[in-house]
Amino acid sequence: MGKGNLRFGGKSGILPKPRPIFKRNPIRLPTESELQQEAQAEQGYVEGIPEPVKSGFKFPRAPVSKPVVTVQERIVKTIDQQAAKVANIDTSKLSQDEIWQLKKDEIRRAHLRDAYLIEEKRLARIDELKAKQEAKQREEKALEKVYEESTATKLTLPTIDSYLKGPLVRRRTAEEEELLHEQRVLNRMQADLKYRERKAIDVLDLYHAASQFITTEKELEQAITDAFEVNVDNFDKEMEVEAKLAGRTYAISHQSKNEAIIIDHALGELNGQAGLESIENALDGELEKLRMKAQTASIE
Amino acid sequence: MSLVNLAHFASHVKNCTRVNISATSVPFSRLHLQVALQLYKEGFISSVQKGSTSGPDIKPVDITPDNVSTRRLWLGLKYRNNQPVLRDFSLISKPGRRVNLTNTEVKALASGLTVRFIRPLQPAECMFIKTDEDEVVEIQEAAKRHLSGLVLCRVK
Repeated sequence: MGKGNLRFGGKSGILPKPRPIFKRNPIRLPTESELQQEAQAEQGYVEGIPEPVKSGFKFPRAPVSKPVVTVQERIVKTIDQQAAKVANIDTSKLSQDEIWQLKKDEIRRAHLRDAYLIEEKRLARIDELKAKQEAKQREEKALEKVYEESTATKLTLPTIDSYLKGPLVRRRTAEEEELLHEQRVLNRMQADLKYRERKAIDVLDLYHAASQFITTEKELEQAITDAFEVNVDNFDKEMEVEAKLAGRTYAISHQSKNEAIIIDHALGELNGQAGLESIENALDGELEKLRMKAQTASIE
Repeated sequence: MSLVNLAHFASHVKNCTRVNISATSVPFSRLHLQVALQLYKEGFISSVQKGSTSGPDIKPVDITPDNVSTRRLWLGLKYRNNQPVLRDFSLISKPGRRVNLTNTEVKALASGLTVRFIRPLQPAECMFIKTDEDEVVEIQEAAKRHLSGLVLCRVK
């Protein structure tokens, strides 16, 4: 560290920091901001961390506040009480040196009292300035938080800003929800109906096809004979025998099949047999009613 | 909030500006709208419009659960002297590396310092920050307002 002004970086003219006069105990109660700071302050050792062993001493986790000793109390204790002790001394019995010593003490006490009072005023002034500064900082901080956009921005961007304020998607109303539910039920039922109809047609088709099933030995023999005998009469004139035998097909060969499909669709039949619709009508009695109506109309 | 979708947004807009397209659309979401609005405020794009997959809306249309999948945000891209105004648009926070900054770090970044791995701001460059209140703000504004949050992307 060095000696003399080396302690101050080799610079002369720098005085050391003055020692505080009221060092041990505070002279006033702590302010609110000081209390807040103190509440946040942490010291000592966290729980679980082993502390150094120091007999008769515990490391506190929060700062321990010292008792307040006001300047007046201090003056009474250190000056007035001391003055009272020496007030009754008979100076006539004392030597010149002792009398001079007493006077010096008195002067010292007077200076100490002045020093205390001046220091009290100085600290009060510092406190006042600090309070003002803090208030100003608080105001500035509060102003900074209230940030306002420029007028141009305010005028040009209200629409897009308004999108962001509320929810982006408008939820369905109760009526819309109900309508959607109904629609879904309808769709499901329609799909179900379509499936059932298809199934019914398939069953009917199977029923019609069952009439062609081979059930007796005679029918089986006939079927075998038909399968292995080429019936020349069945060939169309337009078709070549080779083409037929080679398995080539022509549109004309499907003519009768196409015609059958068209007739089925036009008359509501199934492979030339009664279709699902006509069977349903017969079961309902609708067909019978229609026939009756036609008959009565023809009689009239 | 999806950084993946924001990355798609960024690369889509950048790709469009590179092939001199006048307008493009991005999926409609709150984050996209917030970022698009900031791009508009900073002058990188010329317009922000609501629309559908077929184009910007002529009449205002409500977003409902029925049409939400077709809703898009239409952005008008800007060019000057045949050069795109938006030259680069990239994410800082990635889905696997989100960068949350304190207000001190935001101020440092705004004043031109490097913060962690984030390179300092260049002239004509902007950074957007998503604050804790789900608000997207430009970094200078965030520094003024002492905000902290997630650094989303940088645009120049």
